Amino acid sequence: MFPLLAVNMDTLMDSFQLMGQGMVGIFVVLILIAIIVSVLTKITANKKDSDE
Amino acid sequence: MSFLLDGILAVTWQQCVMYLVGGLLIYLAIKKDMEPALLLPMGFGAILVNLPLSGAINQTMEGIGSTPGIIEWMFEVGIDAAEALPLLLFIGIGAMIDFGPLLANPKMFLFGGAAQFGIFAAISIAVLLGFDLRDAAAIGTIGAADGPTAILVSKVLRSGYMGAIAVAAYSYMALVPIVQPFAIRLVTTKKERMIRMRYNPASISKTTRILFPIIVTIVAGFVAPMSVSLVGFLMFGNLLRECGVLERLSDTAQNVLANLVTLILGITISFSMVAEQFVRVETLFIMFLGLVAFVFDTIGGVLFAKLLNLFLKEKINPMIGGAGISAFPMSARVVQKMALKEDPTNHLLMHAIGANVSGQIASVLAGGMILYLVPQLIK
Repeated sequence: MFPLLAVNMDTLMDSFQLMGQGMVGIFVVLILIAIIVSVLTKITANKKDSDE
Repeated sequence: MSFLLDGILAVTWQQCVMYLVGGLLIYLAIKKDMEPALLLPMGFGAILVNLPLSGAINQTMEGIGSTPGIIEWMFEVGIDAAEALPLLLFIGIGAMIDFGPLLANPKMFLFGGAAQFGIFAAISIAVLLGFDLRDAAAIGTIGAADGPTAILVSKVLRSGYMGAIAVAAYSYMALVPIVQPFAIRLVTTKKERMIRMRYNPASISKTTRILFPIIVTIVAGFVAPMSVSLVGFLMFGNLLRECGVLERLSDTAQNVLANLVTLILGITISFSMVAEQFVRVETLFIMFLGLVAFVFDTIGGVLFAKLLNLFLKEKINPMIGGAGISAFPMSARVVQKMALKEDPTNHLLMHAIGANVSGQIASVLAGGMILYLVPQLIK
């Protein structure tokens, strides 16, 4: 039978750790990409016409 | 002539339930237009694999021994061996996405991240309901609003609930126009929903468009190595689209490849809908947790936008945060429709699309993070 509400506190703590690390990891990657894209957009802005 | 009754006599009540589930999926696909490309093959497959002594899955026959079934073989080769089908689908999806609105407005990246909160909230709630971390993580990935990611994560983590997870993932994606307005209204006021946003997109060079998929793959690969297959295939598809010299391949990826893989993936995933694996009380919990994940995704994105507004002079319409989930373009359309309902002259579509395509990157990153972190936590 499925152990409904048989909460394992260690697993619950692990899930919170996963939440913290997971969200931080996602934000770190996205912020890094956003910064690189912003810089790249500025650097290549003048090239737009010649590229296209 | 008793052999004619062998099939009928072998039917179990669980298989009968699966015929109803299959019929329901086919009904939703045809009558309600809910993700028909996936739900229809899954519904038909659910019936196919649950026919008594079905030849579509491996059977052991007296006097002959084991006989292979086509759907089980496709599952073993296409999903079990190296997650080929969901990954190949990512090439097609990547080739379909125009990241222009996101590149023109890079702060929208943040909303894609915030709207993944529901995945982790659903994981914690699944643990509270008694699931172990591995299954909880697979279930939470329904909140990625991205069917192939949910299938891939549940496969890699060896969750026994892949069938229910796939059904929930695709069903809730189709229900975004119902779920998201409810969740957004729950945490916003009418005044907030009427906030106007100026749209001043930066001009994007072709060089940026070409370098973008390569940069995303490298950055994601360094921080979350397990996300490389997911992110890499998505970005490979996008590179085909943006490079400008492979139009035929880009077109093939967007149409022929994506359609073919979708067709095969739908019927193949039905192998995980065999009655013994699907008809159990946990399936109902998974359906509930999928809803929880979508609601918390939306709330996470909206609340993050409201948090940013505390520090910004030029306010963001918090509904934009809700568009940060991966369900593209439904989520952006929902936000646009809600904004127009409050103020018929308030157009938020381009902002919402930026957040929405960010959600597509963020959802595969979330899948990669889960695949990277969960094995470390359970060892």
